[in-house]
Amino acid sequence: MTKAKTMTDSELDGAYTDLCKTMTRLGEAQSALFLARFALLSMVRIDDAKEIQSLIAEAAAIFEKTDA
Amino acid sequence: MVLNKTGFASPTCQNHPRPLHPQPKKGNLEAETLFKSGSSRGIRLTRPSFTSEKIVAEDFKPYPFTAKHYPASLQGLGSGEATRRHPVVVVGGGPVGYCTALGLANYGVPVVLLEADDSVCFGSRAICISRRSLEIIERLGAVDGFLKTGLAWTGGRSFYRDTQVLHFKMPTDENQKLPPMVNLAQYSIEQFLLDAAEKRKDLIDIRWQNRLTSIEELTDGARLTVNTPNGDYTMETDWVVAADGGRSFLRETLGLKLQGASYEGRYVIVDIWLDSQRPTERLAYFDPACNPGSTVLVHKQPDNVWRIDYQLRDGEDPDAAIQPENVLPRVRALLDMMGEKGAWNPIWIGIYKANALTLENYCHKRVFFAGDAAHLVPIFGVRGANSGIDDADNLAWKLAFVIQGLAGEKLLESYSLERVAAAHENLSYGTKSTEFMAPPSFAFELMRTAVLGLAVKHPELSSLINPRQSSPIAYTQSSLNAVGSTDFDAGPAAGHVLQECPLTLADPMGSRQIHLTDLIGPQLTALCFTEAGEAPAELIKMQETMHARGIPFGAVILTRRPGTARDMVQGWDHTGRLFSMYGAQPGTFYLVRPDGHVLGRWRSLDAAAAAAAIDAMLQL
Repeated sequence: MTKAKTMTDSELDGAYTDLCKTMTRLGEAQSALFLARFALLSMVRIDDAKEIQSLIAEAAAIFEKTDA
Repeated sequence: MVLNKTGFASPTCQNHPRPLHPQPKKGNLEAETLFKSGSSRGIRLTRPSFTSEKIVAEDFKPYPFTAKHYPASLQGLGSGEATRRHPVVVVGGGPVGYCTALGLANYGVPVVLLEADDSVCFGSRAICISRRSLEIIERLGAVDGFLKTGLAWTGGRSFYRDTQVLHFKMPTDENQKLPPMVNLAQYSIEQFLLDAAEKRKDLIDIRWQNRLTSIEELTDGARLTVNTPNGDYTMETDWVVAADGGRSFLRETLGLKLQGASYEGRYVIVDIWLDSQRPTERLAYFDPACNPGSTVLVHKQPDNVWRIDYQLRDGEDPDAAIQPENVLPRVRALLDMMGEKGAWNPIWIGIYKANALTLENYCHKRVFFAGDAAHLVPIFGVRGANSGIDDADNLAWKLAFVIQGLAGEKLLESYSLERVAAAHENLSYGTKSTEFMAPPSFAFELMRTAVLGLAVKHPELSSLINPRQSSPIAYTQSSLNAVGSTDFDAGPAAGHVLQECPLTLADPMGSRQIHLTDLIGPQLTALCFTEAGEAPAELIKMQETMHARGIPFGAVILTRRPGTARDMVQGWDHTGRLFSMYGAQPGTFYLVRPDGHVLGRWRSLDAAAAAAAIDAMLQL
């Protein structure tokens, strides 16, 4: 994304903790669906197919590297 | 066997690792809650009987420090005690107790300090002293040993498996006088403070092997019963400072409860002696090859002592985990992974569980809680001892002012308000660090794995790995803060600590280089910015008025151009950085509290407003 970064480190930290706590509350069994929903909502908010494709590849890279 | 003294023996050392074979001398309910797992089971460490030749070389070694053992102080048993009334008794001879006593002594207030044990503490406890703490300790006259013996460091590195994912630097620049952090074992921290306290024998009466066993609260003080090896005695005091550690007897006996969270994740803490030239920095290894699934922290201490903290895996039995046969192979594997080839020996093994707890009020009638007695902060971020030293610094001047009749007792309420707020801030950072270092749920663990895996390519995520090291806390909501002028574009606002800057002190005997914080002493300090050293008549009058009232007050003229010293202390901004750092013009005026926090600031000197701010602070 070309958009300048506006979120501060502290805001990122807060968002991260919020996500962790929400997922903890929902429980491990629901976490995959929760993250899937979060990913979908992020996709429509990102609103850029190429960008989404690149993020998918990047998120998957670690598994492909490990499997290799 | 080297563990001749338990880590729990000293009452001020107790928010820290549970050592092997603890023999808590004090019955204390918090102890059972906080250190539940086996703390009373008395695991005794004996020399490990290794069969492997390889490990036989790893025999335990003593700490490179010999504590002096003090005989029991028996002066309380003398007939004079019954008829004497002490202004202050500090309970607990740890870093916080000594800092409080030294702070009070700086104002000429006599202090009795009760220490249940017969020496400074033992084992691996606080090891990192922040710049802010060093500033305080310098004002207490004890910093030389810290700087001479302590290992200064400025940053650290974190690794995920074999990849470096963070290299952090703590704020440091050419303006600083002191390093952002020094590593020093707590026994040395206590020893240097004790050395300074022993130089103030005229005011500080350290009573070794004197254990507080009961307190009776009086309307204007307290009656204390103290146990010594030769019997009990009672003493009366106007004020009590509870610096008696994580298992505070006073907190328990007064029925006060810590509030907050306890974390399940446990860390084994191992001190080793290691011959290594590796520089001093904080090293963190997440999921390292030597200890898969765990997190390992490494800190260098003076005299080749290295502190290694590693996280227990889920389901690991903590009692078994601290047995040498389980610990030493992991240490060896870590050293191999780090490429450390030098000789090493284990010194001490303990276990730690993070707590994020505080009292909601540190003032309880005539008793003030400070340090671990008041709050237990997770070790990650090194805010434990450092926040306790700040407590002591905040309390000492307020208590001294009240004892000397310079301030009303209401001033003491601000101690609790300011330091409880600081504890909450410390706890929020400490909690964040703990959630990363010892993930409290599958979600924190999963997200951490994601962060560590992405941080190299996405440095914008690396702030999540940063250990959030202790930094000075501002009392932004303090009722003592003067409104002053609000249109400053730089510099510390009311409640904040001073920003450091080099200065040239003009002295009738010749000029010398100092730093701004050197100007802070046991007094209120007025910093008046001028062009070339002309002291405003208003300021001279203000100083005279304060001195006539007996208020410790020192005015300092800060000049843009070199001036000559006249009646007032004068510092020249020879770097040209001070004025802009403080958003200052000639006429700008800062009032600074004895603990180095700004009381108020004005674009131009308004002696009436400044005097009103001082009166409001003194709460007379």
